[in-house]
Amino acid sequence: MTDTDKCVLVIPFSRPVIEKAEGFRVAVRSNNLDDAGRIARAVGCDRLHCIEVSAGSMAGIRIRDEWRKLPLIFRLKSAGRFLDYAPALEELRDSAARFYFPASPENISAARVLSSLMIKTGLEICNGEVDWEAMEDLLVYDSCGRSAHSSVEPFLYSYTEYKNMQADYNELYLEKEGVFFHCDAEGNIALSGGALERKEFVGTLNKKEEVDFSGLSLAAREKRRARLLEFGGCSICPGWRVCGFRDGGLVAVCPRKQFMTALVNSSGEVNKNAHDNF
Amino acid sequence: MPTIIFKATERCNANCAYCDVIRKGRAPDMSMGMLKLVFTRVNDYLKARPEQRINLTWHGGEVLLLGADYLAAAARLQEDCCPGTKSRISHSVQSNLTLLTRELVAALRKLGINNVGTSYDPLERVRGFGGDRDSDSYNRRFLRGVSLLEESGMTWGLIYVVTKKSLAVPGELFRFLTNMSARVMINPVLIYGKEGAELGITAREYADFIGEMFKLWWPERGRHGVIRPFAEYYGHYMKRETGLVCVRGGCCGEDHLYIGPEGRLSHCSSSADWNLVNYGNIRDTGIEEAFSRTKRRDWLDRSKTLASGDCKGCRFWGVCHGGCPADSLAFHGDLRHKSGWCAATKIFLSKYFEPISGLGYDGPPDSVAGRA
Repeated sequence: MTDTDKCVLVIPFSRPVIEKAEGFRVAVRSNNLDDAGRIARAVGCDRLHCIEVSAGSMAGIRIRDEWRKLPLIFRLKSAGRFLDYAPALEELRDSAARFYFPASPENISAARVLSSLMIKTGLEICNGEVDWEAMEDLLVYDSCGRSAHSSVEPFLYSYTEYKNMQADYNELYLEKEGVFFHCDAEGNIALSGGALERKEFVGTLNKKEEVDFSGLSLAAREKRRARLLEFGGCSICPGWRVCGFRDGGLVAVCPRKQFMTALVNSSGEVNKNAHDNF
Repeated sequence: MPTIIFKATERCNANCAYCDVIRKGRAPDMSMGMLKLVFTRVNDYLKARPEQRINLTWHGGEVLLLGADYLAAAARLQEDCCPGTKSRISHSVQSNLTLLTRELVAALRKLGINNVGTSYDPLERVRGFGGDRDSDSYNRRFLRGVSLLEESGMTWGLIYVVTKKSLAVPGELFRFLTNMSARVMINPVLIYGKEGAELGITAREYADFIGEMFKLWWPERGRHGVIRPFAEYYGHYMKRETGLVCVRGGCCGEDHLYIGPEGRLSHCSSSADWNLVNYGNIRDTGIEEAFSRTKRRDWLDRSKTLASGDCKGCRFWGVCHGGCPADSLAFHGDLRHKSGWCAATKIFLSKYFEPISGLGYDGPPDSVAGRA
């Protein structure tokens, strides 16, 4: 496996940038859902990690029949009014699309409703304020609920990957450092979305052969593991495996600890039940 | 499969508190001539036994101090000296990883090594560099090493050595170790002589320490990788798997051999480090001969002696077989005794493992005669 096989470039929808990113898998960002078909054709299925579409709410989102199998990810501020997306329920349900929201109390409630409607959802717990208590309630619903419902991220990721020591749910948000590299329309490359905004570039697609992707990936791996240099805090947290909290300092009382511990425990239970029922 | 504990160097870049190798007189690194002779002997042994395989476990000292060129030369010598048997030779390595580079990863791969055994301790000044045992620098370099291994697609497992310093924090250490690695082995510190005695622990302390860890492991066992000794005992109780590591299983008599930097032959690393056993030198002794040395008979006959002696009537006989023979040799001067660590096995299994798991052990699955 080469370095480029392991990396995913997160790029804006621009044909020149897609061409410059040749040889890499790409996640393509757009604010316009109508670009989906053009992106898929320009990139090709084997190189396309996902198409990420940003919008305000689910209002007006219609998934055309030819997009149903595309790896569509929606980053939305909220679900919006039910009446506004109700006409599209069937096509949303039948598509591969997943709808992500910030983890506010309202959005967590909306994710539960959407999940019960068999629409794939996700909550962003990588940044911003998160209502951890409401997240834990939703986790109980998702992991223990007997009624049919669709998967919710990052729960599904944790159920699937909780034994994988390399797992980092930030990859759901295209932010697993050392794997996802973020590019702007000029082809500048940064280690994260935040670094791209701050214009902290590590190279450019125009001279991508000069970028040490392997070295950057190694450095990111080390950075993630740096918490294990301290004996205490995150390094002895039962939830660390799924949490992988990277950016804060050691804290005496971690607001994420209870939820992450519940998540890792639920992941164990879900897998045990799946095994027992097989 | 015969395992050769292969020590091409006794040099080490670290100064771990409990290490025997760094304290004893140091032999020079194994010469290329000696290395060639080792592969020639291995080839002779395998040619005469076409059904057999051999594993060379590179130990130190710190193996990576040998350098990438040395390891690459070893791979070439194997090619040259073992043309018809090389496919039956495997290598494994124990390293502290603090010196790992991409060149060394490539050299290890040339020997067919895709997995590295290592050790770690998050507690200060147990493992470290220099006279003041700088654990901070050591730990940073260790983490860089494991990151490099993973980046290169290699796997690794961790040995944690329980010392006096560990005893107060079993739960925290369990969390730490299982957050660090999917494969962890938890062993007691082995102190032979006075050096490092302040870190020494009793069998009961070790049993209680792993017992506290076991309380956490048991309900979560499906989520962790291979955490030994728990996974070993679980496998043994559930399926009579005999995959216990040598110090816990006491079954090394037939298949362990040590080769030191100057060609000295002994039984294992402990028996060599503690100067307990001498099977001669590879210069004038073939591997077949070393395996059949008269002195080795005592190791093979140990089971019979123990079953009618120290271990008579013990219901855990089938699990531990009297434990590590080198312990008996070190503390009693002969092989007729069980290891002092057998007490830890008994206490752990009867006080923690069986009551918590609800599993029972109904005696030895194998007869004494069968083992001998």
